Amino acid sequence: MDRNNREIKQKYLSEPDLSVTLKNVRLPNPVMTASGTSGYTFELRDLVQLDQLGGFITKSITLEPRKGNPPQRTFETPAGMLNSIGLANVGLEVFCEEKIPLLQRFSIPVFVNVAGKTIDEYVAVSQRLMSFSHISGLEINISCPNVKEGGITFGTDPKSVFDLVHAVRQSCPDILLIIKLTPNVTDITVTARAAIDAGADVLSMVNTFLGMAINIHTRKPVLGARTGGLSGPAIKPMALYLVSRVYQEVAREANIPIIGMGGISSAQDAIEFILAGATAVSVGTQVLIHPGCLTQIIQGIKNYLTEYKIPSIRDITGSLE
Amino acid sequence: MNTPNTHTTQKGEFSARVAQHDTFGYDIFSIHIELVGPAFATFKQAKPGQFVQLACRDISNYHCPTPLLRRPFSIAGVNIISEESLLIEVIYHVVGPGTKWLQDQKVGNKINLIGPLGNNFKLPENQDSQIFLIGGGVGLPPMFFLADQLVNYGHNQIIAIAGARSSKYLENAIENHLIPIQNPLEANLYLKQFSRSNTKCIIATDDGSLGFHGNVVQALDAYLSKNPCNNQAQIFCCGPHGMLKSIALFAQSRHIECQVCMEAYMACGIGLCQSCAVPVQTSSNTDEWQYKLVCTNGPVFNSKMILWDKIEI
Repeated sequence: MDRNNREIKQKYLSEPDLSVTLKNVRLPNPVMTASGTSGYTFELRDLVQLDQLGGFITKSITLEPRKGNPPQRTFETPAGMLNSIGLANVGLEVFCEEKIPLLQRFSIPVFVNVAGKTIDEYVAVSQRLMSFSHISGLEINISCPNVKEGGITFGTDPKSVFDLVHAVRQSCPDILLIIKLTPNVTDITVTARAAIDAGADVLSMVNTFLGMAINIHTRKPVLGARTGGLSGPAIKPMALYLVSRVYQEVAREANIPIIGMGGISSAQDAIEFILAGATAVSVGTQVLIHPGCLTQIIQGIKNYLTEYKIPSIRDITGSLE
Repeated sequence: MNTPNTHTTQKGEFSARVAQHDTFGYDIFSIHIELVGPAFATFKQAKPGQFVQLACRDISNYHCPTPLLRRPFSIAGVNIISEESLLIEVIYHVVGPGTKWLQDQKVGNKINLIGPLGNNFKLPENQDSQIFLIGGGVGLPPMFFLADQLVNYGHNQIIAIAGARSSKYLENAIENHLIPIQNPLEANLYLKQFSRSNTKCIIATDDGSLGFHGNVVQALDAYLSKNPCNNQAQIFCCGPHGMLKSIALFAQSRHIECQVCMEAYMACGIGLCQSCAVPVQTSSNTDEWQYKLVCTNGPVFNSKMILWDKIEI
């Protein structure tokens, strides 16, 4: 009996530590949902043990409800998916009334993704949301490629990035601010630096890559909005490269954590992002296909650390040689 | 856990075994997959109109995730074969790499699926209602399942109309080729999947190669002029948008209640990605509308609520 207990204790002690921190927010493990792929609250509850995740990131919320773009809104490409949903969402009021009370039931940290057309809109939505104590942070979407004014116009110009992040930071001094960057720029380290200079606490990277598909029979774009954002395994090498670059050139020195994302489907993918410098990761397109992947990725990371006798996930963050 | 207490699991991600795989018609196949254990408990509750998302590949193969997304298929029937096992039937047309993969699956192979998904048809309260089940092409499968359920609930005034471009798309499901040439609108037990519930059907082909020469709306129109119905009639239908729109307009002109089961391009099928949006009226004023999701608000809608003019056909 004693021996058994000892063994259990030993096993418990040798269990790797998966927890990470995003500034002052502790995540039990580094695996989160990606905005726009896991709903507002408990949509996935039948398919995923949500309380096992590191954190939950909601879909984008705007001040007013948005119908979204005309169909066709998604299209499958080789190992990828184009989408042009156009930030369809219930709007801030309904979100606060109907969704936030449900978010309160999460035992893991919850982050709300915020989008807007103007700096004022971002500020208004952020200010309202920061009043809810169970929201651990805001992910500011300055990179949606699918609405004209909705983010990417801010996200591609370093001055606009600075002004937007600065305005939200000033109006919400205490809440954790995650800035979600677009990859659709010439040099992502410039926009990353602008976000950090303006007061970003964490960088989320990357959003989707702009793309399109054409129906050769009708000679029209496949997507109702003509263009869309490409996600899925197809973009993983590019997203990984951008995370690695921003980590090495900007984020490490500034001590700003990165949430890595872009085509993560497996524990192997997640570990690659972590080695490249991501403190945590978000899984998007793969959740749409195989929701069970979220807990499998967590288990896979645990197995990896155990195999290499690494006590904590934090020991390998950015440890790319 | 911390989820709302009232929640019961209505859907799940399961691995299922191919139990039977038959030809339904030209390039159209019927696959029966066996669900046991928790999957059995979940799918026992499946209702007509609901669908499944099949992974048309090995879901754990990360190196070759093609086709990436699952494919949605209506449930064509649920057959409980023991206290812990049931078969669901899916009928599919081979149109791309996903359905080609399905075609290659042999009895005994495993398929990963999520379901049952979506809402379901609302049955008429009155058992004497004259019911028309109309399916075009691979819009037929939910009608087979609905016929099973209607008959179970004691409805007996059911006529099905099965539409196809040509007889070859139905040929292996046809049980009785002796459709009277003089009277192609005489409903009878022609299609295997309808016959199991003893549901009589009319077959309509665009090219006239079998049954009524014309589309399903023309067949319905012709049937009603010969057999005016006195009881309250109701239409349930599934098929391509153009067909559904024609039926919806026809039903409206005759003041017949009509429920449509919509098709849509989907990514997730579970309400996350917002791909499968259809414009739905939200009040009596047609200016007030929203996009609703075929996967979670539908796939079944009251035909009057769909803004057909806003849908590209």
